[in-house]
Amino acid sequence: MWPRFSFNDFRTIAHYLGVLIVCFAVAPGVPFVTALLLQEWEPASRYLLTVGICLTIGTAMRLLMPTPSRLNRQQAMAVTGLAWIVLALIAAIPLAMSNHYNTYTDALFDCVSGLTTTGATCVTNIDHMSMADNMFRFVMHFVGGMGLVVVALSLGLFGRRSSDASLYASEGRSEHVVPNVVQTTRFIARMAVTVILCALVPIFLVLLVTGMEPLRAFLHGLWLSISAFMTGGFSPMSTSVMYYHSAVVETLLMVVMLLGSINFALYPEIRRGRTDHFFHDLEIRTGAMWLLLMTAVLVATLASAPLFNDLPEMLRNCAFMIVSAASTTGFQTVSANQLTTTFSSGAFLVLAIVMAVGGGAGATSGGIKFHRVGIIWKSFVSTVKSALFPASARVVVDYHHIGRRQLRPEVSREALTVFTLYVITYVIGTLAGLAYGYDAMTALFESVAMASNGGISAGISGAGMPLGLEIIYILQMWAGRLEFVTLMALIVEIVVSITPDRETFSRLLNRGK
Amino acid sequence: MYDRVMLNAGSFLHPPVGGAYIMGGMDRRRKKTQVSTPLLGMGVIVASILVFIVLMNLVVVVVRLVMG
Amino acid sequence: MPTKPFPTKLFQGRKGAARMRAFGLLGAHDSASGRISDSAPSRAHALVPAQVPTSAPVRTSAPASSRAHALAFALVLGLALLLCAPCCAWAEEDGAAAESGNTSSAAAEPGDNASSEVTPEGTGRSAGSSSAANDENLVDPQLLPDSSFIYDTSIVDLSQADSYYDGQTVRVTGEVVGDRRQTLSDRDHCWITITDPAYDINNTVEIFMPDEQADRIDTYGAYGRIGTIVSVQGTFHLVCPEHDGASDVHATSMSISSRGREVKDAFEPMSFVPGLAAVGVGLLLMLALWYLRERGR
Repeated sequence: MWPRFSFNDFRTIAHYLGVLIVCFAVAPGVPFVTALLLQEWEPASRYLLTVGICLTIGTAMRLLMPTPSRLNRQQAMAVTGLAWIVLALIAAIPLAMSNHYNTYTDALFDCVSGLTTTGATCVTNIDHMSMADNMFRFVMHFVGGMGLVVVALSLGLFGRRSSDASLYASEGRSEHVVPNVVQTTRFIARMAVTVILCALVPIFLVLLVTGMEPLRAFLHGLWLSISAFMTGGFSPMSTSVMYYHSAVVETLLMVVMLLGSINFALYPEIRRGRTDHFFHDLEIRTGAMWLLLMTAVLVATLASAPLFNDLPEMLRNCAFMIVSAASTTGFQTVSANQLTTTFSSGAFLVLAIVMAVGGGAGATSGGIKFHRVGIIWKSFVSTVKSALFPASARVVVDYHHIGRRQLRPEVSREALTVFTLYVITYVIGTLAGLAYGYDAMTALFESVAMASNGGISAGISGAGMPLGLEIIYILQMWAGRLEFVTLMALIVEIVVSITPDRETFSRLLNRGK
Repeated sequence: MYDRVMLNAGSFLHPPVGGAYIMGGMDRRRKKTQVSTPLLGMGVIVASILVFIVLMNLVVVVVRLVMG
Repeated sequence: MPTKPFPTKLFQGRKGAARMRAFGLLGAHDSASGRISDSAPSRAHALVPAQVPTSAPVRTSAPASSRAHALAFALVLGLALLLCAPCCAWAEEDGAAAESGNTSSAAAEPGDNASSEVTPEGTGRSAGSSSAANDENLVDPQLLPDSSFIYDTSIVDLSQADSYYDGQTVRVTGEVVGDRRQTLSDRDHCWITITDPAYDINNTVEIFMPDEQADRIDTYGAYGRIGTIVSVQGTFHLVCPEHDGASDVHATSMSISSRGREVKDAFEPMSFVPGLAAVGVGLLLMLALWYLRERGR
């Protein structure tokens, strides 16, 4: 017996979605101000229109239920799940009206990619894009990386009495950083802004030294910092990080990407001075071992390739690509063409696996996440222990995450379920790519990049990609960001709500007779 | 509601202890590394990340030399 | 008509025997002292038509010194001809290669015209092959493995290049976009980016060029600016060993096809009307919502 939505539930969900849409009006407001300051009049008019559309549609939806009741758990899940796609539909309007996207679906793809911090893009002629349009893309990274609900909660938009914890959990946030949810969200926002501003300064200086104009150096530094910490992957120029030809910039971005993929729950402990929680954490240890192992495997597979097998090339590119893939950022120092022509198939597969596993939980990175990989390993250890020890023995496996914790069955079950769902999604995306005639390895790589929100492109995603494949990739990015459970529960709930129950169905049949 | 949030948070972290664990820290079994300011704490993390990146590059060198 | 007598005295004596041996008229078993057997004259006679009378006197031998001189002169002439032949052949081969090189460079020299249809490779090939055919030279210099091809290629091709293009000399034409980035390790060179003027997709190429060439670029493409259209000739690297694996073109020459220009983004008040209207409607609705909530309390 599945719970069903009533008409009042839909009105309540609509109201809170409206709240989010009105709040989202600030997002196009930033490029609007940028356009006015830089005298980019055509983009300014587009973003003003978008602000107006956000206010109009959002308020109209709120008017469906002017005085809403408190959100229950199912409604919170629906709000969170639908928010991503509804906001992406609105955000695509100004981009579609620019001359940089062939179709509205391409703009929608970019918006979903921006909000879910995937980083794949269908933009054309990005080198002539206005500063305002570029600013909007990175604002979407910021909002999406922080979490739309997180931003709304931190601003108290859902009111003080609404069901904060349910919304927070539905967002895919695995745990509370500090006791109060609102405090948690504010803390995350402060951390993000601090790290981004701290990263901006050295990157700006390096770009100035290379000869960029001060304004362009500042904006590129800001955008790269946002993209790196939010593990997004958008870049202001078409050649991604290769454009800057700077090992210093790449190293700085690696540090920021890794900071962005650390569980935010560890940051309060770090601020309090308890750095041992960081060094003993299950995720940190799993992640460190995993990254070192995969770096070694990548180098070993590249060593047999005809090109890209010299030590300087490997030193410059291997570590960066591994960090970019593991944190699911999507920055590339190896072009899509080089990935498919010079990388051996083994190296290609290694990058795909690294993206599939992803980064840390409770952070901005995607993929299956180290936390789950660690839990699955621990449950394997538990299973082996149970087999070895007598039946009467009580097997306890524990792990360290801000204190010692016992491995409980429901934690293992959740980890294995989500792991399976990720793998199924990767396979579905691969099959879709194969159906459209792409090479198997390339289709697999691209599918993993979408579902894990990694964004390293092997060349399939881009302007001119097939519409059906584009929609499938949009759904994959959306599902990956919500970590499947929320999205699947939402779909089930909507389908069940729309489908008449047995009693109503038989009454309709009888009436027909 | 505050109680419910605290209970939820506490049960999430450590079943028998609850919210008190978040505040004070119950684990006195080993000596903790105390760092004086948040800035120094973040500095330690950033430095460890840089060391880790160097370690990754060292792995690249070693594996490349071994592979020939 | 009277015929000259056969000079049988040529084959008499020791010298005559030697002559007979030279003509194959005297076998090995015949006397080495020069005594000619009875059969020798008959064999000599066998060489001569029957009508040749034998009575007419003929001067049959030149003086020894002049013979030696003639022989020596013949030998020297023969050696000289032998030595001249390869020299002539070598000279001919060089001339053919120079001819084909001149033709291709003349075709590749811009006329700053990006739409030129001349294919230097084809012209060079035909010149080379015609000279090769004339000289019966079986090796076509254009096919030697150390020759680098110079040909027009599009940025789209380079951005999708495979190892075939690696190390080739290419010539690409595109718009300069972005910024001029100085390399910190090499202060005499910089990086520029050129893009396909079709703008359909983000096809760009990174060019590593000397500063003095980059100084000639007047506009870098961005929003509101069309950059300088340049034609760059250089070596393409799919995985550049000097630059840690980047795909780039090391420019050897650059020519300007057209100057950059501004694309004015004029302020049009009417374009802001839809936006202002939408904001106005939104604010009105928010007012209505506030009123309903206040009334509901």
